Amino acid sequence: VFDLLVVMKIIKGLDIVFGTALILLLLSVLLPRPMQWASTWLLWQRASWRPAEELDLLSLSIERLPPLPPDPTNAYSTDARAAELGQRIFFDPRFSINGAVSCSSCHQPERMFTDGRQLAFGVRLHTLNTPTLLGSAYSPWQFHDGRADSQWAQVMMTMENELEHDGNRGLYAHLLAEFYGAEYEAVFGPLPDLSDPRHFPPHAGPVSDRRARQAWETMRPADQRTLTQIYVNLAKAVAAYQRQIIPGPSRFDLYLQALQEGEPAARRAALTPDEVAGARIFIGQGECILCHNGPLLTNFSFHNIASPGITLQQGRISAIEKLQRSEFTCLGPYSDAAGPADCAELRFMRTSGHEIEGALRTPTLRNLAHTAPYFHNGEFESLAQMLEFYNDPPPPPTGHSELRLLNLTPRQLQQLEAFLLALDSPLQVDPRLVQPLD
Amino acid sequence: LNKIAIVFILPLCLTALAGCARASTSQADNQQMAAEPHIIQSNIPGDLDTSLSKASENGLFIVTVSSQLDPVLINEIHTWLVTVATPQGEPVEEANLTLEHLMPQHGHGMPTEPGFTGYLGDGQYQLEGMKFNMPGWWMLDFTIQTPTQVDTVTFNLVLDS
Repeated sequence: VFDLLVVMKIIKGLDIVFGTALILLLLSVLLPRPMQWASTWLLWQRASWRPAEELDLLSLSIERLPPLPPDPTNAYSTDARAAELGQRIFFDPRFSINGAVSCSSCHQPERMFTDGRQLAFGVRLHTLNTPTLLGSAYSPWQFHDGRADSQWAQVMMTMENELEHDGNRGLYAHLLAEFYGAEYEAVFGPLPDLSDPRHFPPHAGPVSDRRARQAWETMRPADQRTLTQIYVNLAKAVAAYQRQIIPGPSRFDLYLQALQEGEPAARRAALTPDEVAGARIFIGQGECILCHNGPLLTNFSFHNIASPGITLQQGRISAIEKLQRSEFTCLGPYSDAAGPADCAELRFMRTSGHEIEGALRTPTLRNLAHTAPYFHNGEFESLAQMLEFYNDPPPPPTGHSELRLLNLTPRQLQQLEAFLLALDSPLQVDPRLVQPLD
Repeated sequence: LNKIAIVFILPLCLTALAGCARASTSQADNQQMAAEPHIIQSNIPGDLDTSLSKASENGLFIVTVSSQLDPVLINEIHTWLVTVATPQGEPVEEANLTLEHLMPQHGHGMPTEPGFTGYLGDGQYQLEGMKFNMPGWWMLDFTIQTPTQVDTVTFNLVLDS
């Protein structure tokens, strides 16, 4: 109004019609931003979603997450005693080569099972960012490249990885016998006598550490199998714990519930106008929903998005041979699967094609606020940086990137970020599960 | 005159502003609704043939597909049955079938390599490992080869999120 009065003075003495025209002209120049705000606000007020959009939104609801089925490859996946043993090991730093690294060193419950670091630091500095464990029991593949097809195989690879726990199955069998013998035997039956170091050296395993490897190679095959079976059981117990880490409803889920029940007040209380505008971008112009679909906002599939620092030979393509060679898959001798019918994902996995070149697993978007930095190498410290990348993606080195130019405005990017932050989903678990047991 | 001008112009401007705002918002609103096509349905040909039973390209076979997961959902691995018959309705017994799959708008196929894993009799072939990881338009190109004949057929599938 003050502006208008100034304008009045300027046009003093001018013709009324001309003056009005001039004012209208000025208003139209000044208006776009208020217009945008008004539009955002109106859409928030009315929730004017078209039926197809409403379908898209509801497909993301946590209510659509089915109850977790038992893992057919892990006969102990729903065994409460196995899960309790697994939880004890998860938080126990003795289960590493230097006695200082537990699973929870990198998968910290208070950071939604990530560590806040750009690159993980187990026994040594890693080359990768720690992925969250949240909801990963629903994924057919573990790790950024999916080189494990079960959570127990993931645990086995992690605990013998030289950058992570750097231990070996000899060490772990002795630790189990020493500290958790009774708990182990209650679930898996009697432990063999491990006291003779000629049969069961204190360090032994097919690992990069030279001494442990040499000890392993001189062991009798039957003794090797004994240690491996104990190690598999340990991993299945940890997996029985990890699979319980599942997210609960976020404010976005409350919005969807209110939308379904036709309660405008509850809907408006759940999300702000900007968050709703962000949801519209998520399922629309941003094209996010194409890969980040379903209740966990991921298809757990592999995509080449020209991630910074990745080559075509890395990512999913590098995991295929590892899976084909591994003893610890659904089809391997340590799996509890009833038969090949349980292993369709592995039997029919993609083994060639540009789809798997430089491709990484789509992560869940629930709890992004707690899981920075982002991407497999922790390239992006903030959501804003990451969204800039998606908005104007670089061309892939070669090959086929699935991202395309989005041309979102800075304001739209802010709205998208606001929406992503509204996906904060508190853990849907017993609080005793996210801390070390007494 | 100035006073009169202000008395006249001010309400005029405010009315104009209000009217303009209302018009523009509903316009912006409508524009947003109209200008942003539904991302999953957009650019799919309007006359897309989504029938699940059809004659092959050269009319040599009648091919029918059915999913054991019905309706087909994304991110679920499942099995299909592909039934091949002659135009006269006789089952085709000794066909060798192959599948190519593609999302034409994205330039990539399925996350799996589905495989024909068994002949169930009556011209029915079992196709395991079917999995769609994105909503939208999928093309499934089958090649049917018998000892004496070869033909292709394309099925279209539009999946919800």
